[in-house]
Amino acid sequence: MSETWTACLPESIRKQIALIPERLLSKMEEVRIREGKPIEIGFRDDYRFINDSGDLGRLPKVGYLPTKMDCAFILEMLTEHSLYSYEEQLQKGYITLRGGHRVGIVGQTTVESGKVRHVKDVAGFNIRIAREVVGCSRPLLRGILDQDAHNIHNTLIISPPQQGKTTLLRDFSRQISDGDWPSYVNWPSRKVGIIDERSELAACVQGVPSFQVGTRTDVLDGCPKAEGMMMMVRSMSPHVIVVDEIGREEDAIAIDEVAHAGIRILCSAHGYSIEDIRKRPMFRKLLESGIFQRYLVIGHTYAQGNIYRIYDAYGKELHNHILQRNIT
Amino acid sequence: MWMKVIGIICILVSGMMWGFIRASKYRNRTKQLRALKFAIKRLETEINYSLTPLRLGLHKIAASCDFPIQELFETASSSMENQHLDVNQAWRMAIVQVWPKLDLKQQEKDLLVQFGTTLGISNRDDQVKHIQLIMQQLSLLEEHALTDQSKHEQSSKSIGIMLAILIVLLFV
Repeated sequence: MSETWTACLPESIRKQIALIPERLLSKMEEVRIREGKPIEIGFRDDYRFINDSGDLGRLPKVGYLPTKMDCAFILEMLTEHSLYSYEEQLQKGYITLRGGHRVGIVGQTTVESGKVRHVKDVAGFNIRIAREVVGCSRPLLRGILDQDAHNIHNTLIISPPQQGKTTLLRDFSRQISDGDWPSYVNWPSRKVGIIDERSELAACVQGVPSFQVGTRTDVLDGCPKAEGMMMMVRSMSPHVIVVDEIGREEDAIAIDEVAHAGIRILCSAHGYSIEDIRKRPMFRKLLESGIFQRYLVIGHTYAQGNIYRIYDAYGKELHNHILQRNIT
Repeated sequence: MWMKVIGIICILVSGMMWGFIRASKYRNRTKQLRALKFAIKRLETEINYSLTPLRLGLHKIAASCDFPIQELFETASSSMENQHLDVNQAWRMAIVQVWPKLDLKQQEKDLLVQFGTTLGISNRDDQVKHIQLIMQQLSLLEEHALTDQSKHEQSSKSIGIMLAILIVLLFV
């Protein structure tokens, strides 16, 4: 098992991970480690506990129970033995590993002036395994193209968590930046600027993307989205700006600025539908202003897998695509 | 006759050497304590201002120190990287490995081991407090070491020569 994320685990837990059959390893999306509880493996629509003999079952039978020492070891490895240099990430509740894997952290929080200052006695981790799926956005790109501008429309991807928003954004950015357009168009590639606040999109190592985000892509790694968008506009003259998980008031202001500077926006937000998003005050204004010409809504059913629906600015469905998934 | 002279010279030289080595231990202890203080002060800067990850910080400090303090920091840094150890384990291992090369006393060893249990595992303010605490303790120990040095350095050299002369007188 040579996955980079296992480097943060103690030997005892690594042995348990090694028990997982090869065919399931590639489908794993999460590994949840809780002090005193069996290790949980998360798939898209399912979960399993690792039991003693290496069996994977939905019932938490006798299995290895991570100890306090194990949790302390994981935290130390995640923070590169230097908790002091990860204070800010800990306050946000996650740390991003090399390779773009995001590790959520829970434990006892200490609060100062109403703000979380620190997470102590860390007792649970959720390792979200980042995967690159090159080509996953290919069937969808045609739905967001702007034939007049030879670019993409301002697009908002709406999806509940864990449906592949980030993977999709990453591949869109690769296609736009490499000029990997559908065969019926012959447009030049576009300069893409990614604001990667959580280091998940490009998984930069010392500023250099480790995922394929495209040749003409510039990445501002670890930068707050709103500030990053403005920096990117001023300094890198991108044609398209890509941001993940917008949701704050200042993000909306920055998007408004960027869109009116003649730059196309490709961003994502948590939600189930356009109506859902419209109910949030920050989005209401943004949606009413008509900035977004396309909405890509990722839905999911157990029977069909992922359903991608593309709508225009008026909510009319233009395109849909079903991606069947057989996870376990 | 010549054999006797050679024997006497050997005993005198050995006595002197023993005395000098004993004296150097007092001198080295003070020097090493001072070097440790310097290194830990630098570590404080790396943690407090640069937020340098500990492994890299220890490596940087090792590069600016002299042997054997340099080896202590370098061993800790490389064990963290290569042997998948936590800071405490790596620091302890480095102390055990480098200890025979140091002229420090047990109380200094205990202090260093204790310091290893606090390294890297808390926020910046807390780290600085721990560092300041060990700095105070090291300063105190340095004062003791200086007193010991002034008391015993010269006398150790004299004892070496005196013992050698005594042995020569007893045998001749």
